[in-house]
Amino acid sequence: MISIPIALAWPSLVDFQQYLVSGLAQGCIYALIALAFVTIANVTGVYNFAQGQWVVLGGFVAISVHDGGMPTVLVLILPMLAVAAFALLQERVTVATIRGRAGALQLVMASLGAGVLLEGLMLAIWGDEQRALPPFNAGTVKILDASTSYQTLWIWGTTAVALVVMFWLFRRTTIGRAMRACAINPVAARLVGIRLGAMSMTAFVIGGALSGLIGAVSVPLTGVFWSGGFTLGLVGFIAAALARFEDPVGAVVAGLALGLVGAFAAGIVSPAYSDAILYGVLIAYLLVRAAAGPDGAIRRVLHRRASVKSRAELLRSRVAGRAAAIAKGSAGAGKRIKAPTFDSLRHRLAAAVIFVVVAALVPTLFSGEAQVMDTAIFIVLSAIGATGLVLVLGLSGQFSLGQGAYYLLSGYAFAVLTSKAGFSIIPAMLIAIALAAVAGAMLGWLTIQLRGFDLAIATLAFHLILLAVVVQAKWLGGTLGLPGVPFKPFGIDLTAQTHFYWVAVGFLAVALILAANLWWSDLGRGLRAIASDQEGAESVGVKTQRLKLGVLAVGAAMGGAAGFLWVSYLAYATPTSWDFSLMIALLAYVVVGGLTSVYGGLIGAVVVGVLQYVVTGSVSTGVGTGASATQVMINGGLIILVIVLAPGGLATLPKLVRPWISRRRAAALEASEAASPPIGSPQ
Amino acid sequence: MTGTQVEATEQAMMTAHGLTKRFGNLTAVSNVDLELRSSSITALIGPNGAGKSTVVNLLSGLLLPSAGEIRYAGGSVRGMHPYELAHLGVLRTFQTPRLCPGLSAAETVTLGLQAHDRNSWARALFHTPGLHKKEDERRAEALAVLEEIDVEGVDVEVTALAVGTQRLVELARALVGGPTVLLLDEPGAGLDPSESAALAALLRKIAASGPAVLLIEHDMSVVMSVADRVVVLDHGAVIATGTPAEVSRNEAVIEAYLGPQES
Repeated sequence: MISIPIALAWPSLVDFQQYLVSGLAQGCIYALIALAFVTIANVTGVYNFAQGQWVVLGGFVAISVHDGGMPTVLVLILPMLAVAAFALLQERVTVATIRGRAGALQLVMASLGAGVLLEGLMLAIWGDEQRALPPFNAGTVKILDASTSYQTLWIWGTTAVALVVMFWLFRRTTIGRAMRACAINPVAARLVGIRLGAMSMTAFVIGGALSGLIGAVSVPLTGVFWSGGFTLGLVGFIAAALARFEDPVGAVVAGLALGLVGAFAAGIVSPAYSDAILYGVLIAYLLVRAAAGPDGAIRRVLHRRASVKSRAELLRSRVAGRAAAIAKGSAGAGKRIKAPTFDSLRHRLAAAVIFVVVAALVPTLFSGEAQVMDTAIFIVLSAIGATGLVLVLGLSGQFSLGQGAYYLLSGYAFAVLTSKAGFSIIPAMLIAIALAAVAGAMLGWLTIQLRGFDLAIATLAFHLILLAVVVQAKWLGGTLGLPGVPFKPFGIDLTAQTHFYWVAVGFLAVALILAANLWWSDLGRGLRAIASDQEGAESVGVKTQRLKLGVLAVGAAMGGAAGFLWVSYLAYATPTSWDFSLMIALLAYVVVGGLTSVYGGLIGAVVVGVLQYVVTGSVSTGVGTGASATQVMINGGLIILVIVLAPGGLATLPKLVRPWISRRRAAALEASEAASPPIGSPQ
Repeated sequence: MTGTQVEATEQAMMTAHGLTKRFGNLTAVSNVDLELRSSSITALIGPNGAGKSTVVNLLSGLLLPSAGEIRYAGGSVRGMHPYELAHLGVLRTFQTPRLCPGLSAAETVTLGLQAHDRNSWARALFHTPGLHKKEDERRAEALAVLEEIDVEGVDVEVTALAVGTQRLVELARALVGGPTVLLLDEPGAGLDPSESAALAALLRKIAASGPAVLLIEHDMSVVMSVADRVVVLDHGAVIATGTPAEVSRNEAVIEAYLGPQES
């Protein structure tokens, strides 16, 4: 028997039908978003993270068209055209320019940049308030015993029509077949004369039109808000990922299922926890899916039970049985060979000097200016967290996006320990950072089977669950948050901006040194092997699980350090400081800075932060509420710009520029030689 | 080395019994019995799609058998992870070399060495002198092995090397792990005749030093010259086993593998 907490009431039949109807309506919206997502991903290989914003744009355009007094037909058609146009523009600027030069993550981030830019535009045009439309037809309708607005029928009808049209398009038309060919084998498609660029544009236009339609039909029911796109797109992305990005039917089914799970969770448990439950179900499903299967973890564990004894014995006797395949060390004997894998001391010294000089310049030049110092401290904290993320994403190639959650855990732990439990600052700090590291390793252990986007979704979902729980927890202050205590370790008052700045810089220096050490060590080599080919590394004998957990713990500890410093500085822990937008900002830093360099997080945080400050006069994560339209657009534009110019991030700029300079030099030399040919040269 | 001497020191290192692997409806490997003896080379041959690579993937732990048993030194290794098998000395190469881009040839071999060491996080995070000492030792050993098997360009990034050299680097990476069972998936693919001959000599030398070698190979001259035993797979099942001479006379093998009455 399943035991049900007393607070939960089983729904009556009427309630049940009500949840079913509203869940199906929401599910239809998710399903269509997922379908648009899969269409684009399938044909172009781009995971379009502006998808949700497209839907919001469709909703806003529909409102304007309706307010202009135009008929319902145009309320449906004009949003489709508007979003299709934006989609086409996005394809030309962020996809066509970097096709073949950028990896999946870069393409994702470029689309995310386009989404952020679009959010800024919508904020500028439609303002900072929730907007909605009256239903296309007034009144309510009874379906079974559930009553709902006519708009639900509109959504269901639109979904049905859109599905039929999409399947007809892809199954029965030449262009649909050509697009499917691109999805199955782009090279072969090109060889038979299909133009990839044209197909990519077509897919974006179709996806855009579909998104505009969803926005227009759903806006009377759900309303729109300029920053509402991310969560919408995320659910669509999740549905698409559940269908492994290739199966349109699966994506539609997954979208419907997500809508239903959300509606029933909201109805039976509580609307406050419906998202958390949805994400919990999602994590469970992903874990089971990864562990099932003929070569999955479940079967491996069952197999291992039979050999538990012999395994221990064998591993113990392993040394005895091993033979030296080749006489070792004969050539190397006596010679002292220096391993060149470590970065040179000169390089390190140079980096240290630049770091200290630049760090010292800030308080020297701007000591009186509170705004600048605020910005500088924010940038330093971001750089600490981003450096941890670079280790996880860049060095070990794990798409683990729990960094925001580690900020949150450590920040709250520090606030609770200092203000409620009466701990002094230093032990509280150590506990907070250790907690983040342990959480990182534990989440890593839980998700060890997951890879790629599955891992990204599961770790993000963990963050979102944590957020939902924190917001509901009264003893953590709910949405208001918790106060921390002033930062005075050993009785030394470090609350002054300049003092705190140096504390933060000290933490950043430690984080960078540890990261660089790991980067250029034997374990770093093992992690790189995992990043490029996990199975290959495992076959060599690399203990991939242990290495992955280790790097996750180190990366999480850095997130934890940033989180507790944040609370120390603001003397407050609030859930909004560490919501979804933090993770997006961190991702932007590491992609802008570059994942192939240990300094990528630092470079990205500094460049994005400084530019934001110069243009808008303040700094924020730039997504979510509280940011200005310009700021949001800058963020989006900057991400796009950097990815288009240097797909590998700014850290790769020297490599990109060097050949260009030497070409210019060679050309100049040639020109000067041509002007005055050396006498008697045998040409 | 004569045959009788080999017989005297041979013992079964790894055995498979009734090994079967199904992918959905396709039976890739069907009821295969296999015995790999130390200091000897077993060639696994068969037409394309016969299931040879699947056998290697099963033996190295990447795939789990649908049925059947794999034993190492008499003990069951059911469900062991590839890295655990690697630590027992079951090491392999891949049909297309799976090397880590960004690492040099020397570092690639070092990776094979460090995988069998105790690696400390404190040592790596704080770059203690112990780390530098250890890394220098590893590099010396890696260079020695690369020199032994005639790889030049030890500091060249691996993916920039010729494919034949990449195979050798991958082989070196396996050798430094002290293999007791060495699974080689087409190490000779794409080599010219002189390189093939060199490879054959190298394989004999490796086998003579102790490990049981499983060799997947298409070049019959290499198989004939190095293999002690030949196992022939067709459609996932063993159709013949024996010495190279026996197998090359086998009617079923000629039919399935060499093609009916061709050339």
